Amino acid sequence: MSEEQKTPVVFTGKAGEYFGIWIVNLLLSILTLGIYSAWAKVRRKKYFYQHTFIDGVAFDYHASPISILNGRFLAFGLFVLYSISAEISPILSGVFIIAFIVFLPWIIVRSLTFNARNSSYRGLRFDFKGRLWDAVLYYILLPILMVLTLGLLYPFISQRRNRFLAEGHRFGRSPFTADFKVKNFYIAYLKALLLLVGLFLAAGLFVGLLNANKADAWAKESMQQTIVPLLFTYLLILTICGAFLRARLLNLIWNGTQLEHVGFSANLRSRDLVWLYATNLLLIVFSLGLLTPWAQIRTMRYHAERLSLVGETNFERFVGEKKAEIKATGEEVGEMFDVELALG
Amino acid sequence: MRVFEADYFDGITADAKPVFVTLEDQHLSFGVGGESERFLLSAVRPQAPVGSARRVIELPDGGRLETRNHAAFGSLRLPAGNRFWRMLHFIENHLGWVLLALLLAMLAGWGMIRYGVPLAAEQVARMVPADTESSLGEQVLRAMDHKYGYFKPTRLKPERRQALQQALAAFCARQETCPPHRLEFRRGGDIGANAMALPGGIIVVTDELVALSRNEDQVLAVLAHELGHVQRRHSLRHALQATLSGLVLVALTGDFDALASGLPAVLLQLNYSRSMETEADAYALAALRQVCIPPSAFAEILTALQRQAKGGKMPEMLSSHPDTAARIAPFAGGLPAHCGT
Repeated sequence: MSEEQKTPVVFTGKAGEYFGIWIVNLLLSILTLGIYSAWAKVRRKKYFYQHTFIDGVAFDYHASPISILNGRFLAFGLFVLYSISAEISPILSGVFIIAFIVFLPWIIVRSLTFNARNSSYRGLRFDFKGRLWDAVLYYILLPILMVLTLGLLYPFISQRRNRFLAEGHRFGRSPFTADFKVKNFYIAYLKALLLLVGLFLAAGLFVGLLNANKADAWAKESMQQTIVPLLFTYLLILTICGAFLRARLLNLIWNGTQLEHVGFSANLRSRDLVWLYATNLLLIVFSLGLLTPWAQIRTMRYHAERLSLVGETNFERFVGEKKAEIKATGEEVGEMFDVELALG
Repeated sequence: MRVFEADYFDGITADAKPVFVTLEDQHLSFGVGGESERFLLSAVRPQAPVGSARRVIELPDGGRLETRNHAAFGSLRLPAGNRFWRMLHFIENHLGWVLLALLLAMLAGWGMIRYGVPLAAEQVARMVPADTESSLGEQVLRAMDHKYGYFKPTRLKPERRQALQQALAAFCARQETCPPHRLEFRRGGDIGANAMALPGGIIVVTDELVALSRNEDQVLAVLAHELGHVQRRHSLRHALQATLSGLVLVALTGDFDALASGLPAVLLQLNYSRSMETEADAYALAALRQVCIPPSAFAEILTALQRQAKGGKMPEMLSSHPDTAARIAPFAGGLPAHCGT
């Protein structure tokens, strides 16, 4: 086969420039007691979308801040109700949680649809057509089965979820297709698990050696002195393993995704992501959050650098259809309760 | 008249069509594929500029123009709503204004957590009925009495307990500001010598604290401090402040790193407890002087606790207020004149 044409993804955002946007967003959000955060979100997403280029043209984000705000009010109200119910009786809060779980698939599909329809590239909107029933299966039923199999099913669920996410998306009228091997997901998760166990053993051994000659000094030291480094080590190990897994999964996902005649190629390296996340964590903590914009920009730049399109990008072959808007409710409820959707 | 280069997207296919856009008084026009497109300027929607991105003009037919020519875009008259965004864009891109925004954001964030949240918590606390507060306190006590909780049943002799109960009742009878309360004894176990005020006026003292004290006055001094917490409803207010800070964070962190905005809030949270300790100390000092117990009793028991805390256990009264020396200074004074000699 001949050498295939590759088109890079280019991110031109700059930390200095984004810092201005970030701090003005933060200031106005505080002054308006959080109301402005809906506008802040649109502005932040617009910055990232409009500075991400493929073939000389950038993405755009169109969500209306008002519909985000409405969703946020709803989610906030639910959160307050939940907090109160938790104070009154554990049964009531249990009912709340179960109701939330029942609605979860609907929330997931709505938020994906909202986000996709409000994203565009070259004047064409994206869309999400994933079926509600599939979301029920992959986010509720299979996880129940997973508990019964003691987690052995998890990589399989991850593969199914990511396929559901990828294949649900459309660019204009063109659907994305996904070919993810279940075996590869099992390998990625197994390696991450081995890394996790290995790092914990190494850390435990290190602490043991450190204290071997101090006899029972360990027990006598005050809580503050031991718990902070322990917590920090724990966080660092989780960050490392999380970054490792993320690099592996993103590569699997992008390399197995296709849009009509265009393929994708991602070559994220685990050690780069580990370095990126660990340094981000340290810089954000020690700058009391002030370096957050820089961390966000360099993370985005790295992801863009490592991703490219494969094949001829003759965009005139893509056509779109105009879409009605959809309420932000689903997405915002999802955000407040922190439903993590595992697609980068 | 002004001419600039742009990419035109018709919204039907994805390919970019390079065009020359002509700006006239009332119109914008360009030629594409041999046809001429012409729109009223009042009908097109220039997007608010973001960073150094290509500027976008949305057309009424669903198409869009994207241009790198920021100057030409800047000459377009904007709809009134967009002026605000152009002003923000100006602020975001000028160092002086950005620094000012940074300063104001820090001030506003600090002010809200430091003053706004406690104020709101106080208001909410006022609306919480006494019944709710005491049932909350009972719940907390039950949780702490649980098999896996902090407390074990007391081993103090009933006579000793009764003596302390009576001493506290006598102590309270001699002053006007004593709030309704209930004294409970527990063995502290892991938490050692300690005393705490729960919502609804429940005061718990551990056997270890009673054992640590040299005399009844020292125990009463600690109880006076806890009565200060009860009187100001600190326990409830502290719980409310934590919840409210959480809500504020939730409202903000939709967009900002939870870690970034959470950290300063945690630091300020420590500050809450510190100012509450100071309030309770002030109450204890006034109460002790009123009933003619030497305030030095409080200083003595605090010093004893401090000495013990070196062993690793930090009672709540000390943990949020590390500078014990500065704290006991006001308790060094003698008794007021009405106590005689």
